Amino acid sequence: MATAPSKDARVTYAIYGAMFGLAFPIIATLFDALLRGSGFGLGALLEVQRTQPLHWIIDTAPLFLGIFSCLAGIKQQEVVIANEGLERKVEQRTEMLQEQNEELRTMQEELADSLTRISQSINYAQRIQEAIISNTDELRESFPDSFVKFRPRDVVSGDFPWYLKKGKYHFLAAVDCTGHGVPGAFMSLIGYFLLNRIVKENDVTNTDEILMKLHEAVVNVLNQSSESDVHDGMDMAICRIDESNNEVMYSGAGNPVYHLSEGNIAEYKADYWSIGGTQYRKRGSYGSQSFSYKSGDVLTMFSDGITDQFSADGESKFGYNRIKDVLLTDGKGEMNEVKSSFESSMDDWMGDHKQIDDMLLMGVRLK
Amino acid sequence: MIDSLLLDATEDTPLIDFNTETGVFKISGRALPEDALEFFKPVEEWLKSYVENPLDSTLVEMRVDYFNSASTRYIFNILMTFEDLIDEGKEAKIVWYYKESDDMIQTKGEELSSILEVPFEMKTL
Repeated sequence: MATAPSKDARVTYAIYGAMFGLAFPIIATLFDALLRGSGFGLGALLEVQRTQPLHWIIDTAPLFLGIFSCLAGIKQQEVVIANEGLERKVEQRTEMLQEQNEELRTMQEELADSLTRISQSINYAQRIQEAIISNTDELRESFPDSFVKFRPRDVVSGDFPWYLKKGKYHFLAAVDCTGHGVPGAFMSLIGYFLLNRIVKENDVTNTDEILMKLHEAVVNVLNQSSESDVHDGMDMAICRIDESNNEVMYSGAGNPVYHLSEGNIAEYKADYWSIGGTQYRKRGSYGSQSFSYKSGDVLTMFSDGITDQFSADGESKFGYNRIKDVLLTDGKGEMNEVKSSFESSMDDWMGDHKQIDDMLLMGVRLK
Repeated sequence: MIDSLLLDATEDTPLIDFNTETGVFKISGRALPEDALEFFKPVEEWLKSYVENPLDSTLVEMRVDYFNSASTRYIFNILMTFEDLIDEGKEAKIVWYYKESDDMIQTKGEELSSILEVPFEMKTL
């Protein structure tokens, strides 16, 4: 590929032009000589030239055709140079595009690779979380007709069910940690181990005290001074079931408990204060409420991922009443049926709307 | 007086429109950011500066659609800031709008109203 302009086209065009132009005076002179019948000798030809002024004009043909051809050559040369420039540009662009393509492909591969590794990591984390928190078997041993509906938003979860048998008491909690996904799961482990420590090792048995101890422990573990940016913690409902006198003691940090008895639901409301964080300057202490139950009654606790779930059109929320409806309609039957009835109610409700938070719903039929 | 603060709503963060010319502070929409601190920290910082040199009267309009539990804590902190204004003898008022059908948001408003020491009004949308 030529890279510098050459004079070739201009000179070549001028020479060809002039040579073509030369044909005119030669042919004209010879033809005139033929007509005159004076022969083709040099003297005769000179004579033809000398006596016919028209030939003088024709003689200038090589000069003018030479000049015009030279001009055409210049134009041609410009076109050639411009073409070469264009070709170079096209080549450069093509090269650039190829490089960009290559970069995009590399980025795509890196993204896919990152995604795979993050997914694998989270899936593995999920196994650990499940190993630690899946104590629903113990719950079912104590209360065979019970269910835990657990639907994490992103594989690992900030919600967790908690059950512990200690002495004559059964402790049962539905815990909803701030956040979901990985940060939620971190919080859930903190909550899980702190609850175990408080109830199992420190022998705290009153639910209001458990919540207060848990709050203090979370503040301590997360170093939540007033300057801290970490406001995280958890909302929860906790029940202590005492089978010796058929009594339930309940305390709530944000989340209520429903007591279904003989076709009626009694709702026990929670205190406002969440566990953890230093956001409340005038934080009150937790209260507790105790109520007696009959065999066959049902306790239900849940996280706000259920009540706050948007409908398919995004206009309204699942709310409290739909949980109550399921309980009132199916609460007499087996808890597994309540669970599937709730699942279909939720599926119908949310349609294609994305799940906004982790979901946890627990139902326990008391003996 | 510091400049107004305006953060447009996105799919998972609310509108923050704190207007220091009119004294009307609006928060509306949904808050479910993956990183609540990243979103709310600048708002808290802005409010800190505002409280140092506030208007005589601030009206807070809350049109909350949904706040996840992490965001709720930041919102609580933000609303609590207005108690400081009251303490300094300034006027502040919170108006909590809710859809009649949204008992979740209504309940949250009622709870906040009982806890915050700021004039608090509940209004249906």
